[in-house]
Amino acid sequence: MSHTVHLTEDEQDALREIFNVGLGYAADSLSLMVNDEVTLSVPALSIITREQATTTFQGILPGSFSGVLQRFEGGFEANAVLMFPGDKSLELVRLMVGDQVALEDMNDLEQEALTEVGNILLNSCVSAMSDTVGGTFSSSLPEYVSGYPGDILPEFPPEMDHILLLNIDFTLERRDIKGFLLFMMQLESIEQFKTATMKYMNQFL
Amino acid sequence: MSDAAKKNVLVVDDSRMSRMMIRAIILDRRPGWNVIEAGNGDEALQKVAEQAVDYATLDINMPGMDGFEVAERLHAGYPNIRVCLLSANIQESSRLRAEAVGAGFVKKPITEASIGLALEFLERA
Repeated sequence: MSHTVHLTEDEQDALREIFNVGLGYAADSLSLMVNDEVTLSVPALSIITREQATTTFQGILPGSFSGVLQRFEGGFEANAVLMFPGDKSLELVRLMVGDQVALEDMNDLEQEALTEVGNILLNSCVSAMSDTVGGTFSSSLPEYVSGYPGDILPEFPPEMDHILLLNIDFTLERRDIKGFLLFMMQLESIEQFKTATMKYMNQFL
Repeated sequence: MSDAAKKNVLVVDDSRMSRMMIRAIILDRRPGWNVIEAGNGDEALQKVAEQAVDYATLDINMPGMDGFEVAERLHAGYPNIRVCLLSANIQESSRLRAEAVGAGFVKKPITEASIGLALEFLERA
């Protein structure tokens, strides 16, 4: 029988804040790579069931996307996905490599470059989160993913029946490129992450 | 503590947990100071209109008015308030915007060290 997890207002606040710290570092890394200012939305937190996931993801990013999926484990296990609307990821890659690559080679490069961007951003985010609450983590190789947001669900293990979803959208100001970062954990990891987060917070209270 | 040493410090952050942590560290290091809290930019501006504030710490990424706009408005309307931005938004552009309004900039996460740096900036003459 599956069970759910209940987070108090303070615990939700604390988790959003830790994610916010991670995002700040990720945004800085992205900003340096593309030489543009990155604006972040305020992070949103929800606990959803696997059944709700497809609809929820589609609500965040309607339409097709390209992105990077990476798994993290250590003090907690998480899946993180960096997503760009279908046509924007190529534009992002073009920003990074400029005129150095011929157009005919660009599509081949897109996946590789996007995967590396994802690797840097997702690791920046999770590093900062892990450093803040303590502990170490390891990451899987980043995986290029594309299609529709609901398509990423099969990537998650079947036992992941409840998902803590932290998501933000970010914008590269000058180029009007918008992306999304989803950070997902299943029940056991939510408890571990919550415990570590509250331990960090409570040391000062 | 002499009256001259007592300060009113406004802590602005949409995260209640963050405000609690900042308050606790400030009061641990500066017992006797008065910590005022605001959860967003509008509330912050209301507080400074209602009472004397010496220092302010500002988060950047908040719903509504962001910390830059609050810093800019404080700089314009209350130039005697020393301001330090305390944020996870650590891009160079953020630092430059802070500098432009004479505000300090310290990066999160909130720790004894980061609040110590913020206090160091705020108390600098």
